[in-house]
Amino acid sequence: MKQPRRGVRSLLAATLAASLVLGACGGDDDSDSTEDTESVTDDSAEASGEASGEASTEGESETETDSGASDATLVVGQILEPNSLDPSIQANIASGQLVRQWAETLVYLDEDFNIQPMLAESIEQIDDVTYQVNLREGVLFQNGEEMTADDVVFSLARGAERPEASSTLGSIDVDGFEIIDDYTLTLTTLEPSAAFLGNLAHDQASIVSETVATERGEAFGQDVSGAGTGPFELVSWTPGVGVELVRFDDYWGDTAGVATIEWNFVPDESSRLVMLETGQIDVMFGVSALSAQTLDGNDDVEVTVIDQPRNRAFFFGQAEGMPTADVLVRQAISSAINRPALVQAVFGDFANTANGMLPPGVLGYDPDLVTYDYDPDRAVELLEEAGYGPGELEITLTFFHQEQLVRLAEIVQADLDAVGINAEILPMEATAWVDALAEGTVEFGFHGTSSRSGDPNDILYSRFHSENIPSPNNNQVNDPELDALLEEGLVTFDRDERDAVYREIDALIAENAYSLAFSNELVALGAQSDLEGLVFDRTNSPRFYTVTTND
Amino acid sequence: MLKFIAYRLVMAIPVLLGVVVIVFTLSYITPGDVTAARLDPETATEEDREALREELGLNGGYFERLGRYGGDLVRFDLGTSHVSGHDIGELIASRVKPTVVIAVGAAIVATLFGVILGIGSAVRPYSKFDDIVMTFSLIGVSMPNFWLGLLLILFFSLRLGWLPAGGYDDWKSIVLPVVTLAGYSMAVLARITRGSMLEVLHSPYIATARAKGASEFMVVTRHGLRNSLLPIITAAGLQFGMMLGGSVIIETIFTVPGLGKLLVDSIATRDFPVVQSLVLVIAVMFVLVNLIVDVFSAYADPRLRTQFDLGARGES
Repeated sequence: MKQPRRGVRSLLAATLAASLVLGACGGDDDSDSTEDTESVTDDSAEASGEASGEASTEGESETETDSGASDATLVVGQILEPNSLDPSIQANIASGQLVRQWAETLVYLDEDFNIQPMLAESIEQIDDVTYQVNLREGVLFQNGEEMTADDVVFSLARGAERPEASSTLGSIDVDGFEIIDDYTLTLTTLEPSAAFLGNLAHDQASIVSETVATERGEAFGQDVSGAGTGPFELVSWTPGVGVELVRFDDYWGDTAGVATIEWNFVPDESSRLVMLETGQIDVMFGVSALSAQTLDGNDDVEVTVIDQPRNRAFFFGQAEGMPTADVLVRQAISSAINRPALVQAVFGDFANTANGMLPPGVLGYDPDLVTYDYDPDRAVELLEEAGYGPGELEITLTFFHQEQLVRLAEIVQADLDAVGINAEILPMEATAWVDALAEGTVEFGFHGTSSRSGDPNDILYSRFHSENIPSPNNNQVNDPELDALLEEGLVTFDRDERDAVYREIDALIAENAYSLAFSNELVALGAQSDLEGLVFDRTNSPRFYTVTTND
Repeated sequence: MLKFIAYRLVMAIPVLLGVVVIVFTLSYITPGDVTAARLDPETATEEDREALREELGLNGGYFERLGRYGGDLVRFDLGTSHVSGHDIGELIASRVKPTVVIAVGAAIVATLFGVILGIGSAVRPYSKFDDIVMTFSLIGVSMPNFWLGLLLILFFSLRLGWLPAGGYDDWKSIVLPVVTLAGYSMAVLARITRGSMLEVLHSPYIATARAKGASEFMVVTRHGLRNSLLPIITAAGLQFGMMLGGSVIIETIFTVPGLGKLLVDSIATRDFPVVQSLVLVIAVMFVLVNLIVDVFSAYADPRLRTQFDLGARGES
């Protein structure tokens, strides 16, 4: 159990190898990214093959060439059905994972969250708010038309106006686009944002064909055939069943290794597991620690694990009248919870204990950050200092109802009970939970925060800036110093300076116990062993065009 | 009979109107809205939620929204899903088939085997056969169907590899869902048939039939079964009606894209236009099934037929 499985081991080896290679070759990139303004350039002529490139089950992320293409069908078992196929309207990770197969963004994030060119050959930052985008020429949409600057403007402008994509693209000035020629445009942001280029790698910023999207109007969310530049074309969506993608032969990069992807929606994990074991599906999303245990020893299946930029944290409601508004109470609770034991008990090998709010690998992550060690005696002292004797503090731990999280809450309840805090646990159904957060009535709970662009701003700004009270700033933190630092982080373009700002923010959060991160969960994907070239990037988006199958 | 059917259909209109108003009202007062499913809670602000509510028309008052919904219904426009944007009519149509196919399959299996086993038990009460049937039917009514489903998957899919573990593609993929769904109903029908038959088989007219020299087969089928049919038809109709509503558990375990799963998913995401339309469709199906049950009952029981003005036609 403690020993990583074969698939995990190969992944770890691949990740390490990839890091070393990137570290050795990445000197130029690093120097680029430490300049005052951020720019992205396509250094290599063959960037097409790199437009994916992260952890792979085979330890090699190169794409297959045309000769690797076959008539094979890849059958995928995904947990959730997308709410929409329209990239700018879809809002959950499962939808984003699907978008990645048929549509592409101007830039993508590599293993170390460096921004690399994709549909843009380069993006130059002209001033704090202006960027010039030089597009790759000869890129075709699946309807046969060439991608031009008009499509880019259309895609980004419609995303900027959607509430679903406001955190990703809302900073774009929709009146600030200027088309210089078919392959060149400038765009401006409303305010300077060092996180902006990373946001362009978000699946919501995918470039779609203006012709197709305009023609289909509202139906575009259900039918995106012909609209993307990706290696597969999404040809049909059968609600409740799945979607079908077929290889796009005129893809600008290397042709996909399989001809068709059957992307099925199988919400029940045990069903997905049996389907993977019986060979009914080739790839299984959402492999839990328990399923991985079942698959252990099954030579026909490999489990690939990635650490995605995501934390799960306790938040303390700090509205007036809540006991957690008192820093001593927050520090006491933080000292009372045995986080490593909690994470091991609930997630097993599928999570690491988090220290600060920022996960490893994200800019600003500080491995030496001092937070709260498990110290029940200290917790009791802090509670006494706050004026609470044993059994006097009563608190409600509210969370989104999931079996695993109920277990988590029960362990926390026991930890708190040991220091004399009476904690009631209150699991809530998803929508009621979101509602309670929006009303700002939750005094103590836990939530997860991801960065789909690998930028620290994604994880911290929405959760801690006072303008986002009560939600998504569920902590209801209203600290002018923290606000100022978050704003500074957003407008600081120098990488080192930015790193220092985010380290300071994480330290400030820890010092005041505004929130207590406890886990960085790993994401696992199960696949048949005969699949080769499966790529699963750090933002939790597998790319299937590099996959070939031997059967 | 036609008059009776027409009467029942007309009487269904106020029932369906009641369903529309009640479901709409429940939707209206249920806390939470679809913005929770449409927006990422990690990043969405109140401003984003409000913009989406405005776009979807969720800000109107009760009567305004009920009026709008009623108006759309009158035009047979079920609207579009607030979550996926799909046309609700098409969405439901695509989900009806799997549910109906599995429900009809399960109803046939359950009725056929349930009735045959029940008759067998009643003909030889307290025999070994009866003991075995009643033991299995007790297990059948007691065992949760998700458990039965998982056991069947483990045995027939994982171990023997004969049948797929899930999906809805060909006849093979519906075998396990049908058997799982039929399990409970079959057990119920076996028990009801046995009870009903036992009562009838002890009636004096059965003894008379035997005394008149009728064969045992004729006694059991023509005199016994026919007179036991009423409770069996009623129970079978109810079971079938429930199956038509879709079984969420069966549909989830076997990944069948049916009505039950759609209903539960839509409730979870507060996709109320879909919920309202689905409940209406399920209500219509229940009304129709009840009507069919009544018609069958009338054929089985001449006493009921007189109420439907059938006696005058002198049918036997």
